[in-house]
This record gives sequence, C-alpha cells and structure tokens, in this order.
Amino acid sequence: MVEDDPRIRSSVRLALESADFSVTECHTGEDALELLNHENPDLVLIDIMLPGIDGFEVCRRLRETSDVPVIMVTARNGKEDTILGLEAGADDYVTKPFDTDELCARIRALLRRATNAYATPHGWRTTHRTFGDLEIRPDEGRVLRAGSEVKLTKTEFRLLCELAAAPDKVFSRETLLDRVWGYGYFGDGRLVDVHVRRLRMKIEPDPGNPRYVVTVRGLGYRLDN
Amino acid sequence: MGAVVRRYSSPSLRTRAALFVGASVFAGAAVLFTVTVIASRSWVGSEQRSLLVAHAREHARLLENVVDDPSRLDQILTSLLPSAVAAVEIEGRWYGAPRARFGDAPEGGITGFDYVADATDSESLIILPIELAIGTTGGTSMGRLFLLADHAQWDARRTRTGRLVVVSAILLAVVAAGAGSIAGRRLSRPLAEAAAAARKVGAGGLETRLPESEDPALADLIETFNEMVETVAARAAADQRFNSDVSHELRSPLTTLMASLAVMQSRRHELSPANQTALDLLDADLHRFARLVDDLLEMSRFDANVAALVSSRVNLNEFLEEVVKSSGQSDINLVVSPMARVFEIELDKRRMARALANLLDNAFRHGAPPIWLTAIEIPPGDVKPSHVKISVEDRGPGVDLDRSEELFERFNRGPRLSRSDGSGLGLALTREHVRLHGGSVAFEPVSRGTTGTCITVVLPLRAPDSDG
Repeated sequence: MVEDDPRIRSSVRLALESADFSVTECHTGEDALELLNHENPDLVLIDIMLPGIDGFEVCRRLRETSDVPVIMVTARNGKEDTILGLEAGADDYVTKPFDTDELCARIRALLRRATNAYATPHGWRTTHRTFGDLEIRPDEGRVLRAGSEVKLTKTEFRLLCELAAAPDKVFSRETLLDRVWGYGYFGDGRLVDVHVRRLRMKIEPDPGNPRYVVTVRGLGYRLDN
Repeated sequence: MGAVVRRYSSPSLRTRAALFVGASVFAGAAVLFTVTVIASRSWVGSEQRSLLVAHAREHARLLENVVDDPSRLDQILTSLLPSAVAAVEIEGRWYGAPRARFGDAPEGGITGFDYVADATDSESLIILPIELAIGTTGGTSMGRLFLLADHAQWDARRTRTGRLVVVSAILLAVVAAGAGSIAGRRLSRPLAEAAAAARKVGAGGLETRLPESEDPALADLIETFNEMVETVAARAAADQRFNSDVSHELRSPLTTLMASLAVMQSRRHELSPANQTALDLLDADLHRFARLVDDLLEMSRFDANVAALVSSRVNLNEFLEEVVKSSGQSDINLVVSPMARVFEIELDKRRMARALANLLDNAFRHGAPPIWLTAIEIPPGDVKPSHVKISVEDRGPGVDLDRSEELFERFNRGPRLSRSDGSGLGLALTREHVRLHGGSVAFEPVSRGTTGTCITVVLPLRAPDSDG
C-alpha cells in the first residue's frame, strides 16, 4: 500500500489485516518503486496524491516491468483522476472515502483473476486460439502476435480471453464489467473502455482502426474472427 | 442581495423617445407650416387681386375699343362677359348689371384709381376707370367699369394646398416618430445588451462581460457592470472552491474513520451489547456523513459547471429493473408501458440511477406504500414519442403542490421532516442530474380521491450533446 497519510495507512492496514491480508506500507512513490524491486506483492494499492512522484507515475513505472494488479485510490470521483489512473495502467479504482468491505471485495476480485487468470469460463482452458496473427494461449497465460509475445496485464489478458471465448459475439460493457471485474450493472463502463483501449494498443496492428477488438456502437465490444 | 429595482409602469424608453421626437417634429412642422400658410395666403391674396385687376383692365380696354354707342353697352357687356356680373356707369347712368348687385359700392371720387374690395366671401368687387368714345361732341366720356370677380376657384386651391400642408406635417411627424423609435432603440440597445448580460449572469454565466465602449456615457455603466460581475464571479468561485476543498479535506479523515470502524465491526462479537449499540450508531451516522460529503462534492461540481455526463446506451426497462433491484426494496411496483419497454436511451447510468434512487428513497421515507415506479412515452401512445416520463408515486400524505418548488432547494426539508432525514440535498441533486440529461423534474398531482406524492422525471429520447 502506497499512501502518505499515516492515519489512513494505519487504519486501512488494520482493516485489511482483519480481512486476512498481509500489508506492506510505504509513504512515497520512490519508496514504493524501490520496495517493488525486491518484494513481489499480489496486489498494489496506490494513492494518487503522493509527495514526490505521484500515483499515476508510480503506476506507469510499475507497469514497465510488472503485470501485478493495481488499484488506484483517488480523492475525487471526478472524471480526470479516474481515467488518468486507468490510463496509467491501474486495473481498478476506489474513491475516498471508501468502504473497506468494498475495497476488500475489489481486492479479492482482482486476486481471484490474477491467480486464476487463465481459467476462463466455458471450460476453455487449454485450447490455443488463433485470430489472424494473434494467438491466445490461456494455459500459459500468453498472447503471441506474429509469433512474438505481447505483454498484457492480467486484467487485459482476462478481458481478451472473455472476448475470445465467444468470437463474433457482442459483449455489453455491463457483461464485461461483471465477468472481468465483478461489478454489477452500475459499475463504471469507462473501466472497460480504457482497458479495451490499452489492449488495442498492444495487440492491434493499427489501434486507431481496430481489426480484432471491434466497438459495436451502443452495444459493446466484440472480438472479430 | 434582495435589492429589487422598482419597475415603473411608464412607457418604455424606446416609446418615449419615439413620442418625444415625433411630437417635437410635429410641433416644429406645425409652426413652420402655419407661418408658411399665413405668408403664402397674403401673398396669394395680393397676387390674386392683381391678376383679377389685370383681367378687368383687359375687359375695360376691349370695351373702350368696341363701344361707340351707350345704347349698345348692355348688349356688349352681356356678350363680352357672359358669366360675369359687370356694369358700366357713365355720367350717373348704369348699364349692364343692376346697381343693387354691387352693394354699397362707392359712388364717386375714385375715378382714375383702381378699386378692389371683397364684395362677398367668394367675390371681389373691382372698379376701374374707363374712357368711352360715346360723347355727343365726338369726344370721350369718362365712366367706371364695375366687375364682380369670382374667386371661389382660388379659395378651393388654397384649401387644397392647406390640406396638403397639414397631411405633410402629419406624415412628417409619423416619419419622425419612426426615426425616433429607431433612435430610441439604438439608444436603448446598450441597455438591452446590459439587461441580457445581467440575465445571463443571473443564470450562472459568470464569464459574461459587456464589450468595451468608446461612448463615455456607456463606458461607466459597462465598466461598473463588468466589475460587479467580476466580483460576483470571484466570490462564487471562492465559495465553490471552499465547498469543494472542505469536502475534499473531509475525505481523508472519513477514510480513516470508516476503515477503523470496519475493524471494530469485524470484532463486533468481542464488544459488550452497549458498545455494540454505540458502534452501530457510529456506523450509521458515519455512513450518512460520508454520503453528505459525497452529495456536497457532487453539488460543488454542478456549481462549478464541471459535471459531465458519462453516457451509455441502455435499455430503459432493464435500467429501471436494476434501479429497483439496487434500491434494496422489494415492494416497488415497476410499471413500464409497452412502448417504453423497448426504449434504448442514452444516459449516464450512475447519475440517473442516483436521481431515481433519491426519489424512491423519499417515497419510502416520507410517503407510504404502495410505491410505483412507472415509465411511459410522451405523448402517450404516440408511435414517435419525443420524451419519456418516469414517475415515482406513493400513497403517503403528499406534498403541497403550490409549495413543492421549495422542496428542490438545498437543505430544504418538508415541514414534517426532522433534521435526521437524508442529506437535504437529494432533490436538488436529482434535479441537477436530470437537467444534465436535458430533462426536467416536477411534482404532479396524484389521481383524484387519493392522497400521495407523484414526482416525475421527463427525459428527452434524443440525448443532448454530451462530452462523456
């Protein structure tokens, strides 16, 4: 947990520990990046407002080497912070003041996905699937484009697997939110949009003009065969 | 605040300018024309007289040339001047028209002079000396020619001219009034602009400024106005920032409080019953407090005009079902008209769900079951409806419809409600959320013979432009 406010740090730590998580804290972005060099957490909780380098930057640098799930803690539920956090590579976000039960639920959903990322639904587990020059290997947790591996975060990988489980089928944002993030109907659809955008940057030959992950206006997304 | 400028019921500036200019021009024209008419009348009069005399002189000369015998004078006068009343007096004798016809014409003593006088309203009497070669001695005799000349023709022309002059004056006054009106408009345009700008400022357009003017009369007004708006805008921005800052500052301690409370809740079983009750009270109010801070922040975003729609296309029926589901209440009757069931509308799910949840919440808190959530196309039954109306109705005591607008004010709770109900921002926020969607919220009467509250949200089926 990266958080500069000692009171929040202590109380959230207590709450997480009473939910049986073990927590390592640090209070600056620099410390966090240093710590991540030798620690290997299952999940990182980053507050956006940090002295020194901010939460967005911590997340961006973290993403250069790691696909560890990241939850951003924003002080505003304004549009910019959320989007910026997700663009920086966060998998999910919570807004202060958050309900600790809600935070634990988000953490569990992400962890379940991280440890279980390759166990997609529909019993599709071992078969490799190919879409054009894209090859998805769920059992290995890898995606190859033209033979070379594409580095996806666990959330991006899970999103791609969900879409690939039923090629040509349109998935609504609500469905994807539910399947990938475990959110209900009123979850933030922008989570899906930002992750689709990030996914496209990595797997599409021309991200501005996607060939695989296609937007179906007003309905959702679809993986084209 | 609260200073009201009295609105006078006198005519507008523009009308006054038009009337003033019109009236002044009319008065000026009237004076000018009166002088002209009087001058021209006397000029025309003298001109007319000399013309009449000239005519008469020609007749006289004709008579001098043709008359050689007084006995023929009668006949010659009749044939020469058939329509005129003419007579010749020689040495006390009258020829032609009878003497009485010329009224009290001077008898003598004016021989050798022209005499002209108005005999009647339409006739002038002209008396000219005349020299006729009818003397017994072969010489000439001096006489006088009496002529009554008709000047009705001239008068008619003069009347016509007079009428023309009056009509012109009126026309000129009308044109001048029109010009005055235009001038008035030009004059009052800066005022109208200022009024429009003030209205915009009133509606929240605090960036509104009046353009600079060269005119010293206006420059002062404009400068003052702009300074005033600047001050108001600065104060509003400060208020808004304060509201936003306070809410932000409250978020960190709230996070700590909520996390600590969660720890205690997880160890609830270790607490004594009294402590458990205390913890529950703390828990309930802390969540209410968090909600209030959330509402305040939401409101400050509306106030700062930074609230934006995050729209997505949803099936209305599905959306309403989800709203009912997430309300946690099982006894809401959801009724969606057959047409509205198929509506796909563009909306910000979070905002609209919040707006409707507030209304349902109010119905549960202040109303009484049964509670309906209904949706119907507007106009009802139309195959191409323009709007959808979503209503929340209950069978509680209802609200006073005449004063229902007050309920939309911030922190204005109804008269029956205690301070512990809700955040006090619910309806105000609902209205803001709905307005952002281009819709409206209002209380409506419930069906006759029943009590209860009905509040409706009307949304356009074509979403307004959004930046989300």
